[in-house]
Amino acid sequence: MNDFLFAFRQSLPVFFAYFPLGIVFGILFVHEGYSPIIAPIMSALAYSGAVQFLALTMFKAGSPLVTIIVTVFFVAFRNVFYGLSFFDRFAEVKGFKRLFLIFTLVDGSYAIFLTNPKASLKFCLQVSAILYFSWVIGTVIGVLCADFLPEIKGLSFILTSFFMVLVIDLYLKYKNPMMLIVPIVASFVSYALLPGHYLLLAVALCIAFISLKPRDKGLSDE
Amino acid sequence: MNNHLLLLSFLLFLLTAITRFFPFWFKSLLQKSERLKVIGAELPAYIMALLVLFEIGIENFIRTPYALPSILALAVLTLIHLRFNQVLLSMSSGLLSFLLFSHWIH
Repeated sequence: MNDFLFAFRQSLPVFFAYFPLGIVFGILFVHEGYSPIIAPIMSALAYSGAVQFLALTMFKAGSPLVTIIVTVFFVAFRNVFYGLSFFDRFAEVKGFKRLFLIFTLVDGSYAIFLTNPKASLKFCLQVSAILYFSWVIGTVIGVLCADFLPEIKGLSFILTSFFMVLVIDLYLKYKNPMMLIVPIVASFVSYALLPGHYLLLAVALCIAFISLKPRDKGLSDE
Repeated sequence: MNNHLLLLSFLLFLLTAITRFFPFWFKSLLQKSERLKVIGAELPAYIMALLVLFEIGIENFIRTPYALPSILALAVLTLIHLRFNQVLLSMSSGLLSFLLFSHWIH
């Protein structure tokens, strides 16, 4: 039990982000008029805040599924690199536990595992489970509360705030003004060219910029 | 509509599962490509900034009130986040100031 309490304490900062966001996702989902049962299913299957909120926004706007999936792929793309840090730590674990550990390797658990480099596999599994269920159960609570809450116009700004916090933290990490200037320019240019799919085009422009620019000092220490 | 959402949920599952399992399947490919590593490390910062703009909506920047409530709310959020560095506090202050500013500014 002490082990579990330790895992829970380490998870708390992320828990306080995932659990309320899960609730907000459930509320927004129901207020959009979609079936309440599907929100927790989506949370359990996708388990990604940024992916789900973006997919919901695009779905609501009537974007075709293909456009949603391609755009969302780039948002989820960072996950491709998380596993690289854990080959050795996850080497011994097999079967369902391994599948669960890898599938639930998200921003929050990645950060917690990195800040506890000596922690056991049991700790990793407990943290993963705590964060996963806080997201799914948060969604269920959001769905259940949605009917009792008035529809607050502007509630979805919590999502803008969530992304903005990540922008600030990433900016403080890299201190590269291009990370702000390029997305702003890319968004307006893309909107002028392709207003219906401007996010996807803007993502492509940013990838082109990162790929083509000369190597800067921003990353050489990684 | 709801069937489409179920299909979307399943597609999102495939997508997130593939991105999370990918490094365990293609370890050497990822470790060899410097370019891919740079994209993987830097892209999230660009994407998050794009998502902020997308959630506000570019169309709102080019017509009155020029997304002013959003911009002001994000300024408040930035100050509070830099000062206190508490994610939940920052997000709540962003939301609250947005609700206030959009009430005053039309």
